[in-house]
Amino acid sequence: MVKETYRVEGMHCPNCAMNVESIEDDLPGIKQVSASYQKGRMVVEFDEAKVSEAQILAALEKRGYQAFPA
Amino acid sequence: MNQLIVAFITGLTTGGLSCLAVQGGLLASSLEQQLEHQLDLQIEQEIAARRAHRSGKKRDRILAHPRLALPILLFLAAKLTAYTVLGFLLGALGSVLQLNTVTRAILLIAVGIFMVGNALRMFNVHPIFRYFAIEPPKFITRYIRRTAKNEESFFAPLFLGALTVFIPCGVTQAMMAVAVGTGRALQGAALMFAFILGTSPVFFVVAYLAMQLGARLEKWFMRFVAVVLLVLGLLSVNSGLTLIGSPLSVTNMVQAAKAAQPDLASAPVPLSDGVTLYLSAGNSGYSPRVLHARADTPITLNVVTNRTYSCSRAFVIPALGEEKLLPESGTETISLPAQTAGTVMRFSCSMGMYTGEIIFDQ
Repeated sequence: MVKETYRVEGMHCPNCAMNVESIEDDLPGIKQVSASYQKGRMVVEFDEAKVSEAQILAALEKRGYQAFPA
Repeated sequence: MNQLIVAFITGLTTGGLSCLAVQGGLLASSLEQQLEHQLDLQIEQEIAARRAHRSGKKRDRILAHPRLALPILLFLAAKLTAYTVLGFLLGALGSVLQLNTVTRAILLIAVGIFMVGNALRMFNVHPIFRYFAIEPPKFITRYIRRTAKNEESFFAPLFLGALTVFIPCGVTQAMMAVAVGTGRALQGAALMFAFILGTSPVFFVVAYLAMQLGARLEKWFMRFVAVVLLVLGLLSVNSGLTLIGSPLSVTNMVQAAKAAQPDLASAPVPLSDGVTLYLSAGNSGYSPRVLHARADTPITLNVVTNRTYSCSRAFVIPALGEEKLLPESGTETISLPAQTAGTVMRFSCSMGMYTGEIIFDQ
């Protein structure tokens, strides 16, 4: 299990943070996503054996956001 | 029962507009978050549609119909609940709970800064303004996400609706005083419920029409909301400054610039002689706006009302800490201690919307 922090672009309001966090439901390998609109960041805790970073970023892009390693 | 009907009608007529002027900013703040959310959903759909187009699939209808009635209803429901609880407490305690002038001024200024900060956030002036957005605690967002799969945001309108309890308009304060007077918890709660229920249709209609129009204009409307928020925020700060009698408030600066104003209020009052002053508190403000009093002499101020139902009934002299709820019709006599020549004593309604001053001359 690893914990990575990302800078997220495209969040316009606190609801977006909730939207970003919902990738938890999209990918089974993600344990927890904690996003902050105020900081423009998200912290993802995931199982590298089940899901890759590329898959996480792709899931996020599907929802209209772009993430970069912080 | 009669009292409840009167409270409902008062809310429906004067209360709705008066409260909208004071609390409209909070409603705009909650709807602004909802509109932003709708906009994000739309962007997501556009991305999906573009992908579908690239892969040769039939393009789905893009625009989601914005659900704006729900956040407005949630805001109003939270407001109704909060005020009903307040009515219950006021009725039970029978007194005390009224906020004093300074506390209310600080709240108005704080709410104003909150609105201005949010407007600047929406204009993307600087990321620091993101801290003005209300970010609900994680356990709540998680709960909302898990239970409400439709991804509507309930927190902001509910929270902000309940917050209106801290910035009641003059008419609401008058009703709060009546709730205190009932001396019974359930009656106080019923009274506030009837009154706030009465104010709700005006709130809903104005907000819904404004937002329906806005959803079609998309991003431009977000800027419009930001401008409205900015103006309401500055007005709120100004009302707060007026309330504490600050000469820095725009109202007081304008007042100082144009000394004598034509009479606005309806009730005719006797002429003041410098020692006994007469002031009319009408539905559209105080008249005359500038009174002249003799310096170094105790003064008697008679504030006259004649079928006055507006904010001006909640009469405040910040410098003296004087606060009176005037009768709908009648005369309230206030004794002013002797003041030195050149003193300017400001008075206003309790929300700082209507103002005037007493100048002490040689």
